[in-house]
Amino acid sequence: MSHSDRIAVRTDGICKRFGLVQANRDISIAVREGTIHAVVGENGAGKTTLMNILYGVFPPDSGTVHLMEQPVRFRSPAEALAAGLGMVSQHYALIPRLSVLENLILGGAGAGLAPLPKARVLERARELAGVIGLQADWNAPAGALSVSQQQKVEILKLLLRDARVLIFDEPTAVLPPADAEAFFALLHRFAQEGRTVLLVTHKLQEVLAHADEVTVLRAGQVVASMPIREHPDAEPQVDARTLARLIVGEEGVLPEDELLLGTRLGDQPRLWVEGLTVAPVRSRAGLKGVSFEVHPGEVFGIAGVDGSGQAELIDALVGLVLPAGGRIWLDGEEMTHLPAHYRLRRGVRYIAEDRHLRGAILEWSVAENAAMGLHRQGGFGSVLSLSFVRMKEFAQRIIERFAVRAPSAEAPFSALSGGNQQKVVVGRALMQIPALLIAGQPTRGLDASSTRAVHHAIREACEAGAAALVVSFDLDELLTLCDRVGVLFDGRMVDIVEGERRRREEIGALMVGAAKGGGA
Amino acid sequence: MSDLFDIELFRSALRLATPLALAAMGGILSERSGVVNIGLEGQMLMGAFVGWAAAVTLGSAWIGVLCGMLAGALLGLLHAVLTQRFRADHVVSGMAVNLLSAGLTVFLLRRFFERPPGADTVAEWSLRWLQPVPVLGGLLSGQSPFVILILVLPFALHGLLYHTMWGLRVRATGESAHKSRLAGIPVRVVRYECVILSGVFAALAGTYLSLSQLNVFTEGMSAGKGFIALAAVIFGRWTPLGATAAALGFGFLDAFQQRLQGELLFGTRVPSELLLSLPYLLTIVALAGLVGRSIPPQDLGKQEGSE
Repeated sequence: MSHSDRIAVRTDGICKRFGLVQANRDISIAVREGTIHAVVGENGAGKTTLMNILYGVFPPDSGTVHLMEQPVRFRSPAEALAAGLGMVSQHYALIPRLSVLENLILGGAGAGLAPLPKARVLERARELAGVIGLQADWNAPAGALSVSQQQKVEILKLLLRDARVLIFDEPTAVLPPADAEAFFALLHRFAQEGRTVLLVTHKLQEVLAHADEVTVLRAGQVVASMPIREHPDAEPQVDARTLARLIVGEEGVLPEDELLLGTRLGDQPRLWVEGLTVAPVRSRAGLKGVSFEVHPGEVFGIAGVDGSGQAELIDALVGLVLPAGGRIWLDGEEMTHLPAHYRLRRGVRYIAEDRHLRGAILEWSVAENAAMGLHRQGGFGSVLSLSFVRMKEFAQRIIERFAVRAPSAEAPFSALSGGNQQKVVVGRALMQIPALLIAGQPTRGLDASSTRAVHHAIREACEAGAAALVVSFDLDELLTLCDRVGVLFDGRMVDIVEGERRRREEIGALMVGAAKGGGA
Repeated sequence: MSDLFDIELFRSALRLATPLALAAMGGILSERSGVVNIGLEGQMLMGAFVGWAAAVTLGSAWIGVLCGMLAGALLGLLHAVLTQRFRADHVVSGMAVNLLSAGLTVFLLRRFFERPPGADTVAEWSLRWLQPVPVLGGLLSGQSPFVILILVLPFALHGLLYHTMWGLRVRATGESAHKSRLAGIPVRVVRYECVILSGVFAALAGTYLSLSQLNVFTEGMSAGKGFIALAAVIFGRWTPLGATAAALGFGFLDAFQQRLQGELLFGTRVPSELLLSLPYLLTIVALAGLVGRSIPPQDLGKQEGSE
């Protein structure tokens, strides 16, 4: 029923180069039909490139792809889909302002002047929606759906075209834990139906818990390809340490997970927030009277379901939005209404949750991005001149200290892989010890060793006297990194947990408003 | 003052709105596919000239209209090639189209027509059967076919944009070229089609000026109407029906200010220059986004692959 001996996807000697970077180097893999096949590797190991080649986003420089034992050469994703291979990208391909139904129709065939086949698609979509557990208003704009609903719409798109091979690129990166469980149940179901799943992920636990086979990529090459379990219900034969070692190579072996806890330095809070209120915009929660303090030497975490007020809190602290009420002090000086650049000068640093939107300018060089925001601090020149030499030196220091893989400090930022871009953004905030670090999902999309590097950098900054506020949707990250965790729910800080109560279940319950009432 | 508002005022408003609405339909097509087209002005002017010149030479107003549209299509193609093939900035390319038209029409006019003759105009439709109908009869009978067209075309375009596969692809392309390509839409093709059609509509508006409102081409006769049409697109939030409503509003204002010329308003004579500037003033208001926040297509004016 499930595993057959047919090879659903086979690649032979795939090579792909982007400028100076050899993204894929002679990659040959074989994925058996009806299996969940995981593809793991560090940031920049070439996973996404390989998947994009399979899906016809761009062609390989050399090498061949076989789908169901037939040689194929897709010139576009549409051709891949028509042949039964579909992908849900890390950044969803839904068009936010078209309705859900229009998004489903979009990729389909149909002569130009033919009326939209709304009724026909809706009928099939309703059937399939029941199967994958999607409940959505078909006429709502796709952008109004929650992340996990959007993912289901993407899956629905593939099922409507009856895709036999489904590729998922980092599918659980943005899913709440409960939705991730449901997602994997769905994957198993697909495999049982004889579909083939390619799962690109950073999370080794997911691989061990759900995959049948795994391929490990490092620096664009296959370093291992092996079974994880004999049949879907068997225990894994591989452990996380083995996989981790394969992923990073011998030289980069990781130490055991550890708890990173700090000590408060001094009694005066560095950041003191009282009754902070921000008016809600669109469907966001706003902030409704949030109070807390963060001491030097301490990492304060903010937990909560996406949209509970995290973005508003960050904006108010960084100075991008004026609060409707409440006050913010930094080292006893009120900064509630100070503009962002003044806060920067006072040592507030910000690691943006979306580096493309807020953290960096892709067309600029690494050096320019490294100096951005710090350009007024002196050291890079005066009002009338910028020293590009010093900017480059500064960028070079970040590159060395954070092991950024970049061709040079003058390379365009867009030439770096996502993980390396993030390291530059983090490095910029932490090269000098900040007074207050505000970090929005600082390790989003990073692999294990990069994540660890970022966590340690934040910790070191705090040991040297910084105070840090970390917003994350990843509970493990908050539990590893933070001394205290404040939980936001619907714009209120429902509780601040520390010590004994600093547990996954406790925070998880608070996040969905299931414990304690009222705000601060 | 009550005799200010008679049926002739509204008939005149319809006539003045016609070129705006026609060009606005072109603007919507182009912009919905993601290409800014400020070349509407130049395409309108070129349509007016070529339409009139062809009508004079070939002796038929309708053939003139067709030739004008063809000229608009060519200018649309030029804009498409500049922005898509050569990735020129949309505004710069549109401006080039405008300057080219302004120069070329004047040159050709002076070179070939020393004393511009009058052309046969497109005959009005009497629509006698409509006359008994109250309001509509008075408004529409005896008007130019172009006027009737702007009451039909927006609905056709609405149907096309929102109820056909082609329309969906156009809208998707304007929202995100990259995601549309992932969905298998030939983005380039869609944009070429839309920008060329955009030129056709703008030129059609031009032929109305020189073959229906007047029977002759005069230098610079589009007189900023292409830009006002763009304002109507924005006012109408990039929808055919909305833009037509906006164009009708502009047309009414124009008719109203013509009517007010020489009249006493609140006991004083309003300078006609001030009244003349009214539609333009409103255009600035529209372009400054003061009429509520209107959200353009997300990928409007962006070059592909620049995300």
